[in-house]
Amino acid sequence: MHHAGRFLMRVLALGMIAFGIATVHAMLRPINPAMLDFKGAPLPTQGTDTSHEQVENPDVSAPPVDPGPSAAGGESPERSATTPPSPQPEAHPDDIGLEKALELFNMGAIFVDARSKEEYEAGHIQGAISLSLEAIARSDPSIGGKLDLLRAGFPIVIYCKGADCTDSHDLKRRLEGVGITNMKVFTGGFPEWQRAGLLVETGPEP
Amino acid sequence: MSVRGPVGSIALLVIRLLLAGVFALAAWEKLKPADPANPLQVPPTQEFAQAIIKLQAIPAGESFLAPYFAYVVPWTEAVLAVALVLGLWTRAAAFVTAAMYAYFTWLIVAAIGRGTDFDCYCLGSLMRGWNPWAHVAIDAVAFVFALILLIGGGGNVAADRLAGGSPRKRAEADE
Repeated sequence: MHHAGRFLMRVLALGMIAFGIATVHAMLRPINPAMLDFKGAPLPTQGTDTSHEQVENPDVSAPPVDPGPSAAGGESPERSATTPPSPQPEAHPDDIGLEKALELFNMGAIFVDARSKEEYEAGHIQGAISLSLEAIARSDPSIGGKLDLLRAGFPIVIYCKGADCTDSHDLKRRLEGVGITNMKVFTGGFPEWQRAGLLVETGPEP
Repeated sequence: MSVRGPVGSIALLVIRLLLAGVFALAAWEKLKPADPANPLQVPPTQEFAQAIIKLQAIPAGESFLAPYFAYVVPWTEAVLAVALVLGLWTRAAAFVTAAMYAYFTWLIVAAIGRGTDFDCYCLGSLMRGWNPWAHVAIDAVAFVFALILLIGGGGNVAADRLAGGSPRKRAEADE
């Protein structure tokens, strides 16, 4: 009994030491809850049921044009405002479905692939740039140039692996953190785009 | 019960150092500052808090505690790393280690079962993109190592042994 009590006291002491240090650290450098996505459940795909008509005969004959001034978000001045994103952890108001994604594609929006480099090279939406969380974690040197492109003010569509992938929303929050606005998340991601028979390409970034 | 002899002691020391090394690396990867030259990098604690939410490591209604536990887990790992390196309170540290790894394993298996696309951030960004079953395998091995320490103690090269004093007290410490 004596040994069991001593053992228990040591377990509690280890826990108390860790909790004590963690409490002080958390008070000194608190994490902003607004920067977290509290929606742990898989994300619903929006717009897929209403987009069949357009998917069957998508107007994809024209390749994505170079984003011009007309696509720079000037039509929606409220989007290009530099106000910080409102913390709405339970909702993703900027999620879009295939129909809207295709519309933005044809407008010349910048598509950002949030999947891994390997997945990007195996196949991605035509003209998309790769900006994965892995690349960000290892401070890939190409990030600076891509940020400059994204800061140009054109509409941006972020996608990843589909409805159960949250990397797009994670990347969007990070880009909002550096002042980039006018972003949408295509929740169907590459799988839905590919299933619809829309323009894709393979290989590394040019 | 204890593991006797020089071979047993060396084996226990190696296991302690292995677990301590993994814990130290895991703690550092979660607590290190973000790269100031990379504006898209967020503090690892924030990434880990997100992983806690995604893995449903705490009940959904208590998700607001995730930012706090993003500090508690790595600091627990750091404290355990120190205890295991020194061989101080080895059995208590091994018990906490086994409990943590059992819980981590269960969380990852449950997330795989739910079909959740996740990154457990177990070793920070070092294992990002790995197959989830690799995490399960590593955690299972670490759990077994922790059980060995729980049964065998810290061995002869441990602060527990030095603090034991007389042979009678050492025998007690082995209990």
